[in-house]
Amino acid sequence: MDFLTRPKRSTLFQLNESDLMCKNSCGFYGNPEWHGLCSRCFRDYQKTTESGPHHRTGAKAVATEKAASGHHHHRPPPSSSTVAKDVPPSTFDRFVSKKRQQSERKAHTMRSIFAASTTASKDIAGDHPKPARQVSADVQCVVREFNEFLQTLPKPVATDIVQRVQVVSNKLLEFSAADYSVDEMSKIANTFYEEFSERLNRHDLYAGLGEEASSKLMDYAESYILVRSYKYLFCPPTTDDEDKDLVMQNRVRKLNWVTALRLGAIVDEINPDVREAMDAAITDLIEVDTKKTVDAKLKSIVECCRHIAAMLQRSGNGPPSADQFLPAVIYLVLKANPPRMQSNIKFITRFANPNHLRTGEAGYFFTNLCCAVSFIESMDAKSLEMTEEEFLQYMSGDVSSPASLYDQQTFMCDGLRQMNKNLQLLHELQQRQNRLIENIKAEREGMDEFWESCFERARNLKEKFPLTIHPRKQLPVFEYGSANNTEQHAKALSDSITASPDPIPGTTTTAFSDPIPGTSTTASPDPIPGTTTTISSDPIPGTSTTASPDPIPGTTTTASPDPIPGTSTTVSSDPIPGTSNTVSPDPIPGTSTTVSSDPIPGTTTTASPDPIPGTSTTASPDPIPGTSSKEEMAVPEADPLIKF
Amino acid sequence: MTAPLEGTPRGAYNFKVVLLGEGAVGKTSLVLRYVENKFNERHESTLQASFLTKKLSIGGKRVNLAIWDTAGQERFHALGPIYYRDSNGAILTYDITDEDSFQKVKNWVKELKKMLGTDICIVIVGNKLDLEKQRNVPVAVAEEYAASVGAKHFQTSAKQNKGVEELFFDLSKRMIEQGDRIDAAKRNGPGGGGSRSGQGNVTLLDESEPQPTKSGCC
Repeated sequence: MDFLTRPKRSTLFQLNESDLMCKNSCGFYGNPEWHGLCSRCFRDYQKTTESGPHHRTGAKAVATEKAASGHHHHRPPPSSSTVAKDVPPSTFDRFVSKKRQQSERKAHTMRSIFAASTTASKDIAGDHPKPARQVSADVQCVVREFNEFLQTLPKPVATDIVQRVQVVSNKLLEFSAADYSVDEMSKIANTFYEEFSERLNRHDLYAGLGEEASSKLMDYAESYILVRSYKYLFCPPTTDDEDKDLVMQNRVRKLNWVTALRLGAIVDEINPDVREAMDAAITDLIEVDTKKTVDAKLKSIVECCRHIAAMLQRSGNGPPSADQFLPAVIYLVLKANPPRMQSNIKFITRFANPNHLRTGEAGYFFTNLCCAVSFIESMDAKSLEMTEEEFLQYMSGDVSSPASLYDQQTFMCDGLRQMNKNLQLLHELQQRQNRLIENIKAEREGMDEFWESCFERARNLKEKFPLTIHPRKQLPVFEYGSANNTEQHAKALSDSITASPDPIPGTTTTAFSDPIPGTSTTASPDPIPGTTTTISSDPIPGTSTTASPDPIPGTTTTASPDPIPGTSTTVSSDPIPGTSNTVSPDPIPGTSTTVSSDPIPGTTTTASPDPIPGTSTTASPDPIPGTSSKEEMAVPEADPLIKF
Repeated sequence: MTAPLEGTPRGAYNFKVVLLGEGAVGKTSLVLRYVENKFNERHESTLQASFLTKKLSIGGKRVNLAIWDTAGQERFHALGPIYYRDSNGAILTYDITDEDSFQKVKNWVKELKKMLGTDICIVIVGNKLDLEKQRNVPVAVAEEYAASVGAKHFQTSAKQNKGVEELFFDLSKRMIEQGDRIDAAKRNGPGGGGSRSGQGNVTLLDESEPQPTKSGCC
């Protein structure tokens, strides 16, 4: 309403001053109703042209114009007085008068806006019958369609139909003129539907009529009888429909804070496609009131509901179920606040063909609309799953919820909406980006921790099995002896070691002479620490030959299962620190020695790829992938040889 | 009533079937499976799944089913009567893994019996048979209850398409019988005739035969 009048007002202000002046250019303002003359000039003009009766009519015309001028045109009242004084007005006076004129004009316009809006609102809320011309146009339209349809039917059938329909229609008109109650009329209409449908089904005359044609026929008959007496049947003054309409409208207004989510519907209100469907649905729902027949009203409702379904489908997944649909209808009614909702619902329930309402799609949608209205009427804290207090606060307006997304966007142009949507998208992207960065950070920390723990582990292992380099002379003869409890061995060892101060293991081994070669070989793959120690220290003659040509441990690694070349590894899965000491005398610095008597094979392997410089990795006879079992067999034999 | 009499060859039976039950028991899936033979797919062709129709022929009788889905949330429970008013059949669905939903069905039965008496054919349906392992409602209990209230009990799986067709077929058959019974009662009973003659003015019209005289009104 407002935007319609705004441009009009601006054009009113754009009148040129010359248009306002008297045509006689006497300096006063003229008035279009006085042929553009000022009041004085017009009186003169009348005097010159009038004669007897003409004068009267002229005066009358002026009187009516005067009354009319109250609405649209301004007649500057001071002009006549200034004319009487016969003094040309000063420029200031003219300025003042013009200003007043403008402000009054403005006031008039405002008044006219109000006048227009009040009549319009009366139209919407009241039971003012529509202008006769409009109704007749509707009637004509329905009659024309009905006639066209009847043309397609055989003549006797058409005649019969016309007769029946006419009688009922006239009867309804008659009754409504006689102020019968609406219920009476509803009864008449319903009886007619029932009997007419019965007749269509049973009477021989209609035998040739297809199912489709007869249902169409029913619709036309219904439309015809209703449209003729619409103004009596719709929102009749004998009922309180109008009051209910107003109550409903106020209630919907009070409930404007209810969001779709609160009702249980998922409506993606930012999505332009969804909005489009929603706007269409709202338009359809509001249009219901403008339609004059039940059929047309129902069609609008069906369209509305289809749009709602589309709206849900676009914002959710798959075809919406009733669990989604009803909340959406409720939400839409709240957003649309359709005029005269109760009257329309009453009208349809009273006068629609009950069969039509019972089984058809229209009936279903209409029922949903009824449910929505009924729900809105009885909506309370419990049905919205909120506390009584909260509900009352919202209802009284003490607390206002943030405007719903729909409302926020109602007054935006498409560009802004798009922008908003894009902003939303960017926001989401940013959030995702942040999440990603955080994840990366966490991952990095995890890796650092892993490193740390690896170091830690290696350190622990080192501490547990410290690599102490004893002076060569203190080679752990006794420990060996104690470990093995073989006096003979110990003696032999100490002898050999003392005998050979040579640091090169190769030579040591040569000095060795294992007394029991057979046992060493069998024991070599054995992971049991006790036995291994004996073996490791045991120089096996057979293998010693292979190892002996290679005196440097570093080169031996090739034979060892250690994947890291260059670092020498020794394999002695000996848990006894003492024995590792035997290993330790490894004279070549930098090369590492050993360890790994970690009892847990798994951890050893994880730790093993650890490229800690200088530290040795290890390897127990544990099966490291890639190394063949044959090698394994050979390695433990070879390694100790290298050591010693 | 819409269901035409047996004697009328032209008309088909129009039945309104209302789906009741708690939210998320699979009402919509059930009807979508029956009408479109689809489950849980995104289909563009189906604009909405809350109102669907199905035409079928049973023993030479044409039947149009209008299946009304209802919102199952507790807050909409009070709107039930608006939905099931004038319906010929009601499918009360529960989830076999959810004892509560079965209790809801019992409430619905009570309400329907109270409001519509015996005019309505009731079917109690235990859905989600594919989740047999998580069953919480014993079949025996459900069947016993259904028998006690004069309803049929079916077990279905909309997901695996089990029992759905049978359920609707049986319901349709019973609705035809019921419709015929009501119509016959209406026809023969004194009440039916009385109500018709009550509206004398219109009945007069009905009696007059079509006359070949051309009417100039249109």
